[in-house]
Amino acid sequence: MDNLKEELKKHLITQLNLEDKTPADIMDEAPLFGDNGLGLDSIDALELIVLLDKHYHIKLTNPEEGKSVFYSINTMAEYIEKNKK
Amino acid sequence: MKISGCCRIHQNKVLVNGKKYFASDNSQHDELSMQLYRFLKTEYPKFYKMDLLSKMGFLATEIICQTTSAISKFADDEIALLFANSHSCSESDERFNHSFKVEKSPSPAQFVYTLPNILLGELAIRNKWYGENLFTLLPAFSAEYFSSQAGIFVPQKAKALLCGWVNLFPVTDVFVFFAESNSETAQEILDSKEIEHWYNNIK
Repeated sequence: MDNLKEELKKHLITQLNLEDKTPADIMDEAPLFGDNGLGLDSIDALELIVLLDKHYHIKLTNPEEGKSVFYSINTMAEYIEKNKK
Repeated sequence: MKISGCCRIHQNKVLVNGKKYFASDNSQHDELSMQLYRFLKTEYPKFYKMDLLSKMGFLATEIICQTTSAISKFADDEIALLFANSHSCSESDERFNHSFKVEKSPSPAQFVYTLPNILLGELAIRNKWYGENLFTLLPAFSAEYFSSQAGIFVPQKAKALLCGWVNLFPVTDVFVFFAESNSETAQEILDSKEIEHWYNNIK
């Protein structure tokens, strides 16, 4: 799971152009959206859907799920572990 | 109207009000924009997400804001944005096309930059400017265009204009200037010869 989280952070930095961040700057439990976390926006949310599909072949078809799945690195990693093919 | 400040970025050189401000050792757009961003010591994470067109317009505007004190005396809806170029957002169009056709994974973040006027949205968000804005495609730089359009914007709500020519091809060719009204009432003219003078001042 730790490897997956580290890999996810690297994908996030590349896919979302977070050039001022390193994996160490992204806390596992910190919210990805909002001012208290990474400050991602709605376009980033779409990029995260693309990221899941591109790297883990997981299609997030229910938009309602997005809020809980993309809450943090922890929640994303748990969702990938459960749904990876 | 008078031009209170201007920023010219040509190839790898940056001039402010005709004086050398910054020179990069690299005229490639990517490298130039990153060097200039670091030089300005601006902290704005969204910068990294922008396309090159927005980055160059953003940087020139940051320089104007840092060097032209007059800009701060205007209310957030009194500054109109009047920008133009000749290549639209072709660089972003090609990137998005590549993500779509070659990588088979269209990028939403690239898609949002497939309109050149997104640059104006970035400037409005960054500076909280809520005035009128217009982005036009022209065959080439035209001082007369900016002069004539100023006459449409300023008699109405705008009291000042941030004008910009932001072209990336064949070389970086950026010119952003701030022009303000001299008078509350009189119909004013933004002199095209003055615009031409500052645009051509690249030495």
